[in-house]
Amino acid sequence: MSITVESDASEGLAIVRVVGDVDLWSVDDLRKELGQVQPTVSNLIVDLTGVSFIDSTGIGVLVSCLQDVRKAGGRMGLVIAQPHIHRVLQVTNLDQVFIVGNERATVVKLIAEAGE
Amino acid sequence: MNSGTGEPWAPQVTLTIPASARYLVTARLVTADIASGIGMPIDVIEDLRVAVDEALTMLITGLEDAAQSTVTCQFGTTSEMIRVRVESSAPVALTPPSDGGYAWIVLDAVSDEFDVMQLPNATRISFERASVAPVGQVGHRGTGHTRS
Repeated sequence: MSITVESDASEGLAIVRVVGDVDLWSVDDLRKELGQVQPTVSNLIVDLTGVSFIDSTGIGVLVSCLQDVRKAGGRMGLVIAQPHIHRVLQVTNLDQVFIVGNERATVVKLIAEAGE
Repeated sequence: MNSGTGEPWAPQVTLTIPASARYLVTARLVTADIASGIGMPIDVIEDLRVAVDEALTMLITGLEDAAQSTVTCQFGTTSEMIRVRVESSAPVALTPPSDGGYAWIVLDAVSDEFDVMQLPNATRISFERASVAPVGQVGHRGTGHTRS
C-alpha cells in the first residue's frame, strides 16, 4: 500500500490518496498517516480510487479519523469509484455517515456545501 | 442463518498459512482463483475475498500466540456455490457476532450463511456463498450466532 498527501493550506483541506490493499497488514500505515495529517487541516478527503481491497480494519481506521475530524469541527469525505469498495462501506451503513463521491471534485463540492 | 454450513463436506483445497497479517493477501488470491475457477461473477469473488479476509483477521488478531500459530482455509466447491472453513490452530475467544462489530457485519453481508464453532483446540468460522445471491438477500441478512 502507498499513501500520498496533497494539502492546500489556503483551503484547510488535505487529500490523502491511498493505493493498494488496506488490510490488517497495511492498516497501521494508514492510521499513522491520517493521524499526522488530520490535526493540521480542517477538512480531509481520503481518495480510495486506487484501493483494490479494503476490509473492516481499514473501515475502522477511517471511522476513527472521522470522529477526530468532527471533534475538531471539520468534515471528512471519501472518494470511491469501485463498487466492491463502496459495498464494504454500504453494508456497514457508513456510506450514510461519510461524505462520499466517485470523483474528487464531487467530494470537494459536497464538503464545501456541507459547510454553508 | 441456518445449519447449511454445518453439513459435512470434503474440502478440495486446503491452504495453511502462518497466523500473520502478511499472508492475508495470499489467502485472498487463492480464494479469488478458486471462485473464478467455477465461474463465479466478479462481484461474488470480491465478496468472497472480503469474507475470507475478515474471518482470518478475526482469528489472527484473537490468537494469544500468533507467532507460533497457523490458520487453515479449506474450500469446497460445486458448480453453483463455494463453502469455506477458516480455522485457527489454537482456540480464539471471539467477540460474539451479536455484538455487531464491523467484521461480523461485513461477513454476514457478503456470505449467504456463516457459523462459528469452538472446537477443543481450535476456533472455526465457516461460511458459504452461492454464485448468485437469492432475490432480496443483497445487503444485510440474518444474524449469525456462535455455537459451542
